[in-house]
Amino acid sequence: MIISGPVVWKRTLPDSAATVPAREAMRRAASYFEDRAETAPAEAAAMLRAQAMIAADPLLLEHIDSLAAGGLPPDRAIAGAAESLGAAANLDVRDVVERAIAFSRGLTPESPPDPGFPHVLVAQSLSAADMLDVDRTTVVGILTVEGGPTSHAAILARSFAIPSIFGYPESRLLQDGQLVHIEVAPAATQATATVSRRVPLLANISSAADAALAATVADGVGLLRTEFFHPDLNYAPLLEAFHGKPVTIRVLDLSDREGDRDGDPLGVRGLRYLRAHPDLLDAQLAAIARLGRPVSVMAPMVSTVDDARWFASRARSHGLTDAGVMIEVPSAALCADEILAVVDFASIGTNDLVQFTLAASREHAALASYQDASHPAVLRLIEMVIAAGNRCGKPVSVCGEAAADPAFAATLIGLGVSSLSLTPAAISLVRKAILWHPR
Amino acid sequence: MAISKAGLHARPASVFVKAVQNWAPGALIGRPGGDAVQARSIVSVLALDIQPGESVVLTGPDADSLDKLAALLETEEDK
Repeated sequence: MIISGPVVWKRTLPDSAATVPAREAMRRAASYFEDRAETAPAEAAAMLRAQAMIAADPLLLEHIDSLAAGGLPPDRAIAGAAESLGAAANLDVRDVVERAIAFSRGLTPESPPDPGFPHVLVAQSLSAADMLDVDRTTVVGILTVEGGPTSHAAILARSFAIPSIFGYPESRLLQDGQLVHIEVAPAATQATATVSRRVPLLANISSAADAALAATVADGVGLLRTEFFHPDLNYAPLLEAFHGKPVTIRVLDLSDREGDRDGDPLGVRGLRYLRAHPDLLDAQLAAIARLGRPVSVMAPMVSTVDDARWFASRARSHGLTDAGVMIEVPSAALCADEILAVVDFASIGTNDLVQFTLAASREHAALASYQDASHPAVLRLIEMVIAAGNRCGKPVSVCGEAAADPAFAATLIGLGVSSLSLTPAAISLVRKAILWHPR
Repeated sequence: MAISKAGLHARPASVFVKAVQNWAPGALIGRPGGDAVQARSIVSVLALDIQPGESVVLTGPDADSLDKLAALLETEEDK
Protein backbone atom coordinates (compact mmCIF):
# COMPACT_ATOMS: atom_id res chain seq x y z
CA MET A 1 0.00 0.00 0.00
CA ILE A 2 1.56 3.28 -1.04
CA ILE A 3 -0.01 6.52 0.03
CA SER A 4 0.92 9.94 1.19
CA GLY A 5 0.79 10.86 4.83
CA PRO A 6 0.89 14.04 6.85
CA VAL A 7 3.71 15.08 9.16
CA VAL A 8 3.68 13.67 12.65
CA TRP A 9 0.53 14.96 14.25
CA LYS A 10 0.61 15.97 17.87
CA ARG A 11 -2.39 17.48 19.57
CA THR A 12 -1.65 21.13 20.06
CA LEU A 13 -2.95 22.90 23.15
CA PRO A 14 -3.21 26.61 22.40
CA ASP A 15 -1.71 28.48 25.31
CA SER A 16 -4.75 30.52 26.27
CA ALA A 17 -5.56 31.40 29.87
CA ALA A 18 -7.22 28.64 31.89
CA THR A 19 -10.37 30.31 33.10
CA VAL A 20 -12.54 27.25 33.75
CA PRO A 21 -12.03 25.88 37.29
CA ALA A 22 -10.07 22.62 37.40
CA ARG A 23 -12.92 20.63 38.97
CA GLU A 24 -15.31 21.79 36.24
CA ALA A 25 -12.75 20.94 33.52
CA MET A 26 -12.37 17.44 34.98
CA ARG A 27 -16.16 17.04 35.14
CA ARG A 28 -16.38 18.02 31.46
CA ALA A 29 -13.65 15.54 30.61
CA ALA A 30 -15.47 12.77 32.49
CA SER A 31 -18.74 13.49 30.70
CA TYR A 32 -16.92 13.79 27.37
CA PHE A 33 -15.68 10.19 27.77
CA GLU A 34 -19.04 8.97 29.13
CA ASP A 35 -20.85 10.53 26.16
CA ARG A 36 -18.46 9.01 23.65
CA ALA A 37 -18.81 5.61 25.33
CA GLU A 38 -22.59 5.76 24.79
CA THR A 39 -22.28 5.69 21.01
CA ALA A 40 -18.96 3.85 20.65
CA PRO A 41 -18.62 0.26 19.43
CA ALA A 42 -18.51 -2.22 22.31
CA GLU A 43 -14.75 -2.77 22.19
CA ALA A 44 -14.15 0.97 22.53
CA ALA A 45 -16.85 1.72 25.11
CA ALA A 46 -15.09 -0.11 27.96
CA MET A 47 -11.88 1.81 27.27
CA LEU A 48 -13.69 5.15 27.17
CA ARG A 49 -15.51 4.36 30.43
CA ALA A 50 -12.13 3.57 32.00
CA GLN A 51 -10.98 7.02 30.92
CA ALA A 52 -14.13 8.61 32.35
CA MET A 53 -13.18 6.89 35.59
CA ILE A 54 -9.69 8.42 35.38
CA ALA A 55 -11.25 11.87 35.03
CA ALA A 56 -13.40 11.21 38.09
CA ASP A 57 -10.63 9.60 40.19
CA PRO A 58 -11.21 10.80 43.79
CA LEU A 59 -7.51 10.88 44.66
CA LEU A 60 -6.62 12.75 41.46
CA LEU A 61 -9.32 15.31 42.23
CA GLU A 62 -8.00 15.71 45.80
CA HIS A 63 -4.53 16.42 44.45
CA ILE A 64 -5.95 18.89 41.92
CA ASP A 65 -7.86 20.67 44.70
CA SER A 66 -4.80 21.02 46.89
CA LEU A 67 -2.62 22.29 44.02
CA ALA A 68 -5.36 24.76 43.00
CA ALA A 69 -5.72 25.88 46.62
CA GLY A 70 -1.97 26.51 46.62
CA GLY A 71 -2.49 29.04 43.84
CA LEU A 72 -1.78 27.02 40.64
CA PRO A 73 -3.98 27.87 37.65
CA PRO A 74 -6.44 25.08 36.70
CA ASP A 75 -4.43 23.67 33.74
CA ARG A 76 -1.23 23.41 35.76
CA ALA A 77 -3.07 21.94 38.74
CA ILE A 78 -4.47 19.19 36.50
CA ALA A 79 -1.11 18.38 34.91
CA GLY A 80 0.65 18.59 38.28
CA ALA A 81 -1.79 16.21 39.99
CA ALA A 82 -1.29 13.49 37.37
CA GLU A 83 2.44 14.03 37.74
CA SER A 84 2.36 13.77 41.53
CA LEU A 85 0.49 10.45 41.29
CA GLY A 86 3.26 9.18 39.00
CA ALA A 87 0.87 8.55 36.10
CA ALA A 88 1.82 11.35 33.70
CA ALA A 89 3.50 8.88 31.30
CA ASN A 90 0.45 6.62 31.03
CA LEU A 91 -1.08 7.32 27.59
CA ASP A 92 -4.67 6.89 28.78
CA VAL A 93 -4.12 9.24 31.70
CA ARG A 94 -2.30 11.70 29.44
CA ASP A 95 -5.21 11.72 26.99
CA VAL A 96 -7.60 12.58 29.86
CA VAL A 97 -5.23 15.24 31.18
CA GLU A 98 -4.77 16.86 27.75
CA ARG A 99 -8.51 17.00 27.15
CA ALA A 100 -9.18 18.36 30.66
CA ILE A 101 -6.52 21.05 30.13
CA ALA A 102 -8.20 22.00 26.84
CA PHE A 103 -11.54 22.23 28.65
CA SER A 104 -9.95 24.36 31.38
CA ARG A 105 -8.84 26.78 28.67
CA GLY A 106 -12.34 26.84 27.22
CA LEU A 107 -11.22 24.90 24.12
CA THR A 108 -12.50 21.81 22.34
CA PRO A 109 -9.76 19.17 22.10
CA GLU A 110 -8.42 18.90 18.58
CA SER A 111 -9.12 15.73 16.52
CA PRO A 112 -6.57 14.07 14.22
CA PRO A 113 -6.31 15.98 10.92
CA ASP A 114 -8.27 14.84 7.88
CA PRO A 115 -6.80 15.95 4.55
CA GLY A 116 -9.85 14.47 2.80
CA PHE A 117 -8.06 11.84 0.73
CA PRO A 118 -6.72 8.35 1.50
CA HIS A 119 -3.65 8.79 3.67
CA VAL A 120 -1.47 7.29 6.36
CA LEU A 121 -2.07 9.01 9.68
CA VAL A 122 1.26 9.60 11.41
CA ALA A 123 0.89 10.76 15.01
CA GLN A 124 2.96 11.24 18.13
CA SER A 125 0.42 9.08 19.95
CA LEU A 126 -3.24 8.20 19.53
CA SER A 127 -5.84 7.45 22.17
CA ALA A 128 -8.98 5.33 21.96
CA ALA A 129 -11.06 8.51 21.56
CA ASP A 130 -8.79 9.72 18.76
CA MET A 131 -9.38 6.42 16.95
CA LEU A 132 -13.13 7.05 17.01
CA ASP A 133 -12.51 10.45 15.41
CA VAL A 134 -10.52 8.88 12.60
CA ASP A 135 -12.36 8.72 9.29
CA ARG A 136 -12.12 5.04 8.43
CA THR A 137 -12.79 5.72 4.75
CA THR A 138 -9.72 7.93 4.31
CA VAL A 139 -7.23 6.65 6.88
CA VAL A 140 -5.67 3.63 5.20
CA GLY A 141 -2.77 3.21 7.62
CA ILE A 142 -1.55 4.47 10.99
CA LEU A 143 1.90 5.01 12.44
CA THR A 144 2.58 6.37 15.91
CA VAL A 145 5.82 7.38 17.59
CA GLU A 146 4.63 6.35 21.06
CA GLY A 147 2.37 3.56 22.24
CA GLY A 148 2.46 -0.13 21.56
CA PRO A 149 0.59 -2.95 19.87
CA THR A 150 -1.53 -3.56 22.95
CA SER A 151 -2.57 0.06 23.48
CA HIS A 152 -6.29 0.74 23.28
CA ALA A 153 -5.93 2.68 20.07
CA ALA A 154 -3.96 -0.19 18.52
CA ILE A 155 -6.66 -2.66 19.48
CA LEU A 156 -9.28 -0.42 17.89
CA ALA A 157 -7.18 0.03 14.76
CA ARG A 158 -7.05 -3.76 14.43
CA SER A 159 -10.79 -4.07 14.92
CA PHE A 160 -11.25 -1.42 12.21
CA ALA A 161 -8.85 -3.43 9.99
CA ILE A 162 -6.57 -0.41 9.52
CA PRO A 163 -2.97 -1.54 8.97
CA SER A 164 -0.97 0.14 11.70
CA ILE A 165 2.23 0.23 13.70
CA PHE A 166 1.86 1.70 17.17
CA GLY A 167 5.13 2.68 18.81
CA TYR A 168 7.37 3.11 15.77
CA PRO A 169 9.80 5.90 16.79
CA GLU A 170 11.26 6.18 13.27
CA SER A 171 7.93 7.53 12.05
CA ARG A 172 8.94 10.94 13.41
CA LEU A 173 11.44 11.11 10.56
CA LEU A 174 8.69 10.98 7.91
CA GLN A 175 7.92 14.09 5.91
CA ASP A 176 4.47 15.34 5.00
CA GLY A 177 3.45 13.84 1.68
CA GLN A 178 6.17 11.20 1.76
CA LEU A 179 5.20 7.82 0.35
CA VAL A 180 4.72 5.23 3.06
CA HIS A 181 4.59 1.50 2.52
CA ILE A 182 3.08 -0.45 5.40
CA GLU A 183 3.58 -4.16 5.00
CA VAL A 184 0.92 -6.10 6.84
CA ALA A 185 2.69 -8.93 8.63
CA PRO A 186 0.87 -12.13 9.44
CA ALA A 187 -0.79 -11.80 12.81
CA ALA A 188 -0.16 -15.28 14.17
CA THR A 189 3.60 -15.06 14.64
CA GLN A 190 3.78 -17.56 17.46
CA ALA A 191 0.92 -19.78 16.33
CA THR A 192 2.01 -23.20 15.30
CA ALA A 193 0.07 -25.72 13.33
CA THR A 194 0.85 -29.36 12.77
CA VAL A 195 0.27 -30.77 9.33
CA SER A 196 0.91 -34.27 8.09
CA ARG A 197 2.05 -33.42 4.60
CA ARG A 198 5.08 -31.48 3.50
CA VAL A 199 4.24 -29.06 0.72
CA PRO A 200 6.75 -26.85 -1.08
CA LEU A 201 6.78 -23.20 0.02
CA LEU A 202 7.37 -21.21 -3.14
CA ALA A 203 7.90 -17.50 -3.60
CA ASN A 204 5.83 -14.77 -5.24
CA ILE A 205 8.34 -12.58 -7.03
CA SER A 206 7.93 -9.09 -8.44
CA SER A 207 11.49 -7.78 -8.38
CA ALA A 208 15.16 -8.73 -8.38
CA ALA A 209 15.20 -8.02 -4.64
CA ASP A 210 12.36 -10.53 -4.15
CA ALA A 211 14.30 -13.08 -6.17
CA ALA A 212 17.45 -12.59 -4.10
CA LEU A 213 15.53 -13.07 -0.86
CA ALA A 214 13.55 -16.02 -2.23
CA ALA A 215 16.73 -17.77 -3.39
CA THR A 216 17.74 -18.32 0.24
CA VAL A 217 14.39 -19.35 1.69
CA ALA A 218 12.02 -20.66 -1.00
CA ASP A 219 11.65 -24.09 -2.56
CA GLY A 220 11.10 -22.42 -5.94
CA VAL A 221 9.06 -19.71 -7.60
CA GLY A 222 5.30 -20.17 -7.56
CA LEU A 223 4.43 -16.85 -9.14
CA LEU A 224 6.75 -14.65 -11.18
CA ARG A 225 4.79 -11.47 -11.91
CA THR A 226 6.17 -10.50 -15.30
CA GLU A 227 4.41 -7.16 -15.71
CA PHE A 228 6.99 -5.61 -13.38
CA PHE A 229 9.68 -6.50 -15.92
CA HIS A 230 7.66 -5.53 -18.98
CA PRO A 231 8.57 -4.87 -21.74
CA ASP A 232 11.93 -6.51 -20.99
CA LEU A 233 11.32 -10.20 -21.70
CA ASN A 234 14.64 -11.44 -20.31
CA TYR A 235 13.82 -13.49 -17.21
CA ALA A 236 17.03 -15.53 -17.20
CA PRO A 237 19.07 -13.45 -14.71
CA LEU A 238 16.21 -13.50 -12.26
CA LEU A 239 15.84 -17.26 -12.43
CA GLU A 240 19.54 -18.16 -12.19
CA ALA A 241 19.26 -18.74 -8.47
CA PHE A 242 16.48 -21.29 -8.98
CA HIS A 243 18.37 -23.85 -11.00
CA GLY A 244 16.78 -27.27 -10.52
CA LYS A 245 13.82 -25.80 -8.66
CA PRO A 246 10.26 -25.39 -9.91
CA VAL A 247 9.44 -22.04 -11.49
CA THR A 248 6.03 -20.81 -12.59
CA ILE A 249 5.87 -17.71 -14.73
CA ARG A 250 2.61 -15.83 -14.96
CA VAL A 251 2.14 -14.16 -18.30
CA LEU A 252 1.38 -10.46 -18.42
CA ASP A 253 -1.48 -9.24 -16.25
CA LEU A 254 -2.12 -5.94 -18.00
CA SER A 255 -5.30 -4.01 -18.55
CA ASP A 256 -6.51 -2.04 -21.53
CA ARG A 257 -5.78 1.27 -19.86
CA GLU A 258 -2.44 1.88 -21.51
CA GLY A 259 -0.94 -1.16 -19.85
CA ASP A 260 -1.94 0.15 -16.44
CA ARG A 261 -1.88 -2.68 -13.93
CA ASP A 262 -4.33 -0.87 -11.70
CA GLY A 263 -7.16 -0.63 -14.17
CA ASP A 264 -10.71 -1.82 -13.64
CA PRO A 265 -10.47 -5.21 -11.92
CA LEU A 266 -13.57 -6.35 -13.84
CA GLY A 267 -12.38 -4.93 -17.14
CA VAL A 268 -10.23 -6.04 -20.03
CA ARG A 269 -7.24 -7.31 -18.08
CA GLY A 270 -5.20 -10.46 -17.63
CA LEU A 271 -5.93 -13.10 -20.22
CA ARG A 272 -8.72 -10.94 -21.67
CA TYR A 273 -6.16 -8.31 -22.59
CA LEU A 274 -3.83 -10.91 -24.06
CA ARG A 275 -6.63 -12.42 -26.17
CA ALA A 276 -7.05 -8.93 -27.62
CA HIS A 277 -3.26 -8.65 -28.11
CA PRO A 278 -2.13 -12.20 -29.07
CA ASP A 279 1.18 -10.88 -30.48
CA LEU A 280 2.17 -9.68 -27.03
CA LEU A 281 1.47 -13.10 -25.53
CA ASP A 282 3.32 -14.89 -28.35
CA ALA A 283 6.40 -12.70 -27.88
CA GLN A 284 6.38 -13.43 -24.16
CA LEU A 285 5.83 -17.17 -24.55
CA ALA A 286 8.63 -17.31 -27.14
CA ALA A 287 10.97 -15.54 -24.70
CA ILE A 288 10.00 -17.98 -21.94
CA ALA A 289 10.58 -20.95 -24.25
CA ARG A 290 14.07 -19.59 -25.07
CA LEU A 291 15.00 -19.84 -21.35
CA GLY A 292 15.72 -23.48 -22.14
CA ARG A 293 14.86 -24.65 -18.66
CA PRO A 294 11.87 -26.49 -17.26
CA VAL A 295 9.27 -23.88 -16.50
CA SER A 296 5.53 -23.69 -16.00
CA VAL A 297 3.46 -20.88 -17.44
CA MET A 298 0.09 -19.70 -16.27
CA ALA A 299 -2.50 -17.15 -17.29
CA PRO A 300 -4.15 -14.60 -15.00
CA MET A 301 -7.82 -13.65 -14.89
CA VAL A 302 -9.22 -16.76 -16.55
CA SER A 303 -12.99 -16.97 -16.31
CA THR A 304 -14.10 -19.63 -18.78
CA VAL A 305 -13.09 -23.04 -20.13
CA ASP A 306 -12.57 -21.38 -23.49
CA ASP A 307 -10.08 -18.92 -21.94
CA ALA A 308 -8.18 -21.83 -20.43
CA ARG A 309 -8.17 -23.89 -23.62
CA TRP A 310 -7.02 -20.91 -25.71
CA PHE A 311 -4.11 -20.16 -23.38
CA ALA A 312 -3.00 -23.79 -23.13
CA SER A 313 -2.91 -24.16 -26.91
CA ARG A 314 -0.86 -20.94 -27.30
CA ALA A 315 1.62 -22.13 -24.67
CA ARG A 316 1.94 -25.60 -26.22
CA SER A 317 2.49 -24.10 -29.66
CA HIS A 318 5.71 -22.64 -28.17
CA GLY A 319 6.76 -26.01 -26.80
CA LEU A 320 5.78 -25.08 -23.25
CA THR A 321 4.30 -28.31 -21.95
CA ASP A 322 3.20 -27.26 -18.48
CA ALA A 323 0.46 -24.69 -18.95
CA GLY A 324 -1.91 -23.73 -16.19
CA VAL A 325 -4.33 -21.04 -15.16
CA MET A 326 -4.93 -18.90 -12.14
CA ILE A 327 -8.23 -19.48 -10.44
CA GLU A 328 -9.20 -16.07 -9.12
CA VAL A 329 -12.66 -15.64 -10.60
CA PRO A 330 -15.56 -17.52 -8.96
CA SER A 331 -16.73 -18.80 -12.37
CA ALA A 332 -13.37 -20.51 -12.87
CA ALA A 333 -13.52 -22.05 -9.40
CA LEU A 334 -17.04 -23.34 -10.02
CA CYS A 335 -15.97 -24.85 -13.38
CA ALA A 336 -12.65 -26.19 -12.04
CA ASP A 337 -13.30 -29.74 -13.28
CA GLU A 338 -13.84 -28.58 -16.85
CA ILE A 339 -10.95 -26.11 -16.74
CA LEU A 340 -8.49 -28.60 -15.26
CA ALA A 341 -9.46 -31.01 -18.06
CA VAL A 342 -7.83 -28.67 -20.61
CA VAL A 343 -4.80 -27.38 -18.64
CA ASP A 344 -1.98 -28.98 -16.63
CA PHE A 345 -2.40 -27.25 -13.28
CA ALA A 346 -4.24 -24.49 -11.46
CA SER A 347 -3.06 -21.86 -8.99
CA ILE A 348 -5.63 -20.15 -6.80
CA GLY A 349 -5.09 -16.40 -6.47
CA THR A 350 -6.79 -15.63 -3.20
CA ASN A 351 -6.53 -11.83 -3.38
CA ASP A 352 -8.78 -11.49 -6.42
CA LEU A 353 -10.87 -14.53 -5.54
CA VAL A 354 -11.81 -12.82 -2.26
CA GLN A 355 -12.64 -9.48 -3.83
CA PHE A 356 -14.75 -11.06 -6.58
CA THR A 357 -16.51 -13.56 -4.32
CA LEU A 358 -17.43 -10.97 -1.69
CA ALA A 359 -17.94 -8.23 -4.30
CA ALA A 360 -15.64 -5.97 -2.26
CA SER A 361 -12.97 -3.92 -4.01
CA ARG A 362 -9.45 -4.37 -2.67
CA GLU A 363 -8.82 -0.69 -3.32
CA HIS A 364 -11.60 0.47 -1.02
CA ALA A 365 -10.35 1.07 2.52
CA ALA A 366 -13.87 0.96 3.94
CA LEU A 367 -14.24 -2.61 2.68
CA ALA A 368 -11.00 -3.88 4.22
CA SER A 369 -12.88 -6.14 6.63
CA TYR A 370 -14.28 -8.05 3.63
CA GLN A 371 -10.80 -8.99 2.43
CA ASP A 372 -10.94 -12.28 4.30
CA ALA A 373 -9.64 -15.37 2.56
CA SER A 374 -11.00 -17.52 5.38
CA HIS A 375 -14.57 -16.49 4.62
CA PRO A 376 -16.62 -19.70 4.24
CA ALA A 377 -17.60 -18.78 0.67
CA VAL A 378 -13.94 -18.45 -0.33
CA LEU A 379 -12.92 -21.59 1.54
CA ARG A 380 -15.66 -23.57 -0.21
CA LEU A 381 -14.44 -22.40 -3.61
CA ILE A 382 -10.86 -23.28 -2.70
CA GLU A 383 -12.01 -26.69 -1.50
CA MET A 384 -13.89 -27.27 -4.78
CA VAL A 385 -10.85 -26.47 -6.89
CA ILE A 386 -8.56 -28.71 -4.82
CA ALA A 387 -11.11 -31.55 -5.03
CA ALA A 388 -11.29 -31.10 -8.80
CA GLY A 389 -7.49 -31.31 -8.96
CA ASN A 390 -7.53 -34.51 -6.92
CA ARG A 391 -10.15 -36.06 -9.23
CA CYS A 392 -8.03 -35.56 -12.33
CA GLY A 393 -4.63 -35.87 -10.67
CA LYS A 394 -3.45 -32.34 -11.49
CA PRO A 395 -1.74 -30.04 -9.01
CA VAL A 396 -3.58 -27.13 -7.41
CA SER A 397 -1.55 -24.51 -5.58
CA VAL A 398 -2.42 -21.27 -3.81
CA CYS A 399 -0.48 -18.11 -4.56
CA GLY A 400 -2.35 -15.32 -2.78
CA GLU A 401 -1.05 -13.27 0.12
CA ALA A 402 -3.37 -15.21 2.43
CA ALA A 403 -0.84 -18.06 2.36
CA ALA A 404 1.54 -15.80 4.30
CA ASP A 405 -0.62 -16.25 7.41
CA PRO A 406 0.69 -19.43 9.08
CA ALA A 407 -2.72 -20.42 10.38
CA PHE A 408 -4.30 -20.01 6.97
CA ALA A 409 -1.38 -21.77 5.30
CA ALA A 410 -2.00 -24.74 7.59
CA THR A 411 -5.68 -24.69 6.62
CA LEU A 412 -4.76 -24.77 2.94
CA ILE A 413 -2.38 -27.67 3.49
CA GLY A 414 -5.14 -29.46 5.35
CA LEU A 415 -7.45 -28.91 2.40
CA GLY A 416 -4.86 -30.61 0.20
CA VAL A 417 -3.01 -27.95 -1.84
CA SER A 418 0.08 -29.17 -3.73
CA SER A 419 2.15 -26.10 -2.93
CA LEU A 420 1.90 -22.62 -1.46
CA SER A 421 3.39 -19.52 -3.00
CA LEU A 422 3.81 -16.45 -0.85
CA THR A 423 5.81 -13.29 -0.41
CA PRO A 424 9.43 -14.31 0.27
CA ALA A 425 9.50 -12.17 3.41
CA ALA A 426 6.96 -14.51 5.03
CA ILE A 427 8.36 -17.87 3.97
CA SER A 428 10.66 -18.42 6.97
CA LEU A 429 7.88 -17.47 9.33
CA VAL A 430 5.41 -19.90 7.77
CA ARG A 431 8.04 -22.62 7.63
CA LYS A 432 8.77 -22.16 11.34
CA ALA A 433 5.13 -21.95 12.32
CA ILE A 434 4.11 -25.14 10.57
CA LEU A 435 5.29 -28.35 12.13
CA TRP A 436 5.49 -31.09 9.53
CA HIS A 437 4.38 -34.18 11.31
CA PRO A 438 3.92 -37.31 9.22
CA ARG A 439 1.10 -39.43 10.48
CA MET B 1 -0.58 -11.78 47.09
CA ALA B 2 -2.26 -12.26 43.75
CA ILE B 3 -1.15 -12.64 40.17
CA SER B 4 -2.71 -10.14 37.82
CA LYS B 5 -3.70 -12.18 34.78
CA ALA B 6 -4.46 -9.29 32.46
CA GLY B 7 -2.12 -6.69 33.91
CA LEU B 8 -3.51 -3.39 35.15
CA HIS B 9 -3.83 -1.13 32.15
CA ALA B 10 -6.86 1.08 31.84
CA ARG B 11 -9.64 -1.34 31.00
CA PRO B 12 -8.89 -4.14 33.49
CA ALA B 13 -7.82 -1.51 36.03
CA SER B 14 -11.23 0.14 35.73
CA VAL B 15 -12.97 -3.16 36.54
CA PHE B 16 -10.64 -3.75 39.49
CA VAL B 17 -10.92 -0.22 40.88
CA LYS B 18 -14.71 -0.28 40.64
CA ALA B 19 -14.70 -3.50 42.69
CA VAL B 20 -12.37 -1.88 45.23
CA GLN B 21 -14.69 1.11 45.56
CA ASN B 22 -17.61 -1.27 46.23
CA TRP B 23 -15.97 -3.87 48.45
CA ALA B 24 -12.88 -2.41 50.11
CA PRO B 25 -12.45 1.35 49.57
CA GLY B 26 -9.54 1.43 52.02
CA ALA B 27 -7.49 -1.29 50.29
CA LEU B 28 -3.93 -0.68 49.18
CA ILE B 29 -2.14 -2.28 46.24
CA GLY B 30 1.54 -2.53 45.39
CA ARG B 31 4.34 -4.75 44.16
CA PRO B 32 5.86 -7.24 46.62
CA GLY B 33 8.35 -5.21 48.63
CA GLY B 34 7.33 -1.99 46.86
CA ASP B 35 5.31 1.06 47.87
CA ALA B 36 1.57 0.56 48.19
CA VAL B 37 -0.95 2.98 46.69
CA GLN B 38 -4.66 3.52 47.23
CA ALA B 39 -6.48 0.90 45.16
CA ARG B 40 -9.63 3.06 44.87
CA SER B 41 -7.64 5.50 42.69
CA ILE B 42 -7.41 4.28 39.09
CA VAL B 43 -4.71 6.85 38.33
CA SER B 44 -2.58 5.51 41.19
CA VAL B 45 -3.18 1.92 40.04
CA LEU B 46 -2.23 2.82 36.45
CA ALA B 47 0.94 4.50 37.73
CA LEU B 48 2.07 1.09 39.04
CA ASP B 49 2.09 -0.16 35.43
CA ILE B 50 1.40 -3.78 36.43
CA GLN B 51 2.06 -6.13 33.50
CA PRO B 52 0.15 -9.34 32.72
CA GLY B 53 1.31 -12.16 34.98
CA GLU B 54 2.89 -9.86 37.59
CA SER B 55 2.38 -10.43 41.32
CA VAL B 56 0.73 -7.75 43.40
CA VAL B 57 0.12 -7.40 47.13
CA LEU B 58 -3.26 -6.31 48.42
CA THR B 59 -3.62 -5.02 51.96
CA GLY B 60 -6.64 -3.84 53.89
CA PRO B 61 -8.77 -4.43 56.98
CA ASP B 62 -11.22 -7.00 55.57
CA ALA B 63 -9.69 -10.33 54.51
CA ASP B 64 -12.85 -11.53 52.76
CA SER B 65 -13.05 -8.58 50.42
CA LEU B 66 -9.31 -8.80 49.73
CA ASP B 67 -9.81 -12.45 48.73
CA LYS B 68 -12.57 -11.40 46.35
CA LEU B 69 -10.34 -8.73 44.83
CA ALA B 70 -7.47 -11.20 44.48
CA ALA B 71 -9.78 -13.68 42.76
CA LEU B 72 -10.87 -10.93 40.37
CA LEU B 73 -7.25 -10.10 39.49
CA GLU B 74 -6.42 -13.76 38.98
CA THR B 75 -9.33 -14.48 36.66
CA GLU B 76 -10.14 -11.29 34.80
CA GLU B 77 -9.21 -11.65 31.16
CA ASP B 78 -8.07 -8.90 28.89
CA LYS B 79 -10.65 -8.34 26.22
